[in-house]
Amino acid sequence: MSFPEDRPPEAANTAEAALEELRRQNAELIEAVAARDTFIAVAAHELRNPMTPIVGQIDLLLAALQAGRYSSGQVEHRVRRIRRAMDHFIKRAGTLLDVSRITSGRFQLALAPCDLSDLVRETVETFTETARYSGCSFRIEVPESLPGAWDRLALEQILDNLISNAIKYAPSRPVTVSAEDFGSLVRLRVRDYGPGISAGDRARIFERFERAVGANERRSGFGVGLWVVGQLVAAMEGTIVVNDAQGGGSVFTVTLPRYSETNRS
Amino acid sequence: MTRVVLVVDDEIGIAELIDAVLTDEGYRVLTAVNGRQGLAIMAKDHPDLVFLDYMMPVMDGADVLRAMARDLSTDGVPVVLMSSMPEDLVAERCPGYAVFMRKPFRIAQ
Repeated sequence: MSFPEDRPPEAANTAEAALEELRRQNAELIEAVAARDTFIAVAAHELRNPMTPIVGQIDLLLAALQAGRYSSGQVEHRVRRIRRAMDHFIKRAGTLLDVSRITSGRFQLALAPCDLSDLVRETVETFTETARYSGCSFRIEVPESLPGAWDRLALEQILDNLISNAIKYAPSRPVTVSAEDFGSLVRLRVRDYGPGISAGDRARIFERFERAVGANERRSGFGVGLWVVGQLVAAMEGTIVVNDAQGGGSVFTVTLPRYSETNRS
Repeated sequence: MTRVVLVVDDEIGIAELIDAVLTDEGYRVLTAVNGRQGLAIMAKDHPDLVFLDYMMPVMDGADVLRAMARDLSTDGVPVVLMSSMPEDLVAERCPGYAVFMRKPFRIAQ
């Protein structure tokens, strides 16, 4: 019969090392499960919020229609608000889906011809009502046309997150969105005139769950928004940096390769 | 005299919804996008009731409640605190609100 203490020292060392490795893997799994649970809590929280205006506006519309109180113009106004609330919900769900695709390694770029100047103008347009509510105004600085091939949905997601943050954290101030042509590269910038971001926060804001849920978490918005932006930029072989802007505020600069449909390996 | 209601929420959809419901009921509804803006409107327009979101950028609901309690002109103004988080998680930080409304809520509430 053989007892553990009878094993040669090298075998005991190997067993101890294997046990240590198992402990380490177990700790990692516990951490991963906790992170997943936190993310589910964030997602549930953030997907519940936009349901209030959707359900509420439908209730209002139904009540008014049943009472015969609405003109066709009022019905259209209410339906437009429902539509906007639905768009907001779809954007948040899209962020959640991106997180899932990125973390599971299933994210793939879908390159297609796209005009970056048009995309900037169209994305900014979707924020018209939100910006009006927050007292923000937009300045768009783009060339007449900036054609290339990019993953349009990923670009929209990047711009959407950066513009949304600018409005949220710098209300009642202007927001400048610009795109520049550098030949084989393009540069997107979103600049706000808010309080700026401290050096410590600048180093952490692209981390996942930086602003995730918790009893002390008090800010709204997906805690993974900038993490998703960072991941999408990296997937497009680009870079993103945030700096203090001259004259106050922050400027997010995204530099991307200007693909054509044929030069993507 | 028309009663004034202030809605402080960074989500435009929530503010528009409460605005639509209460305007129909004959109230004058004002909106603010964060706590700091909300306090400025309170100082100027002296609302009779405040709907206050808990989680907001710039200045959140808990900080607004504390600022309201320190100011004689706003101390005592009833506040409906709104959050998608459970009340027991936010109550500790939030002194003096009158009613808690968990999001998503229905108009009938």
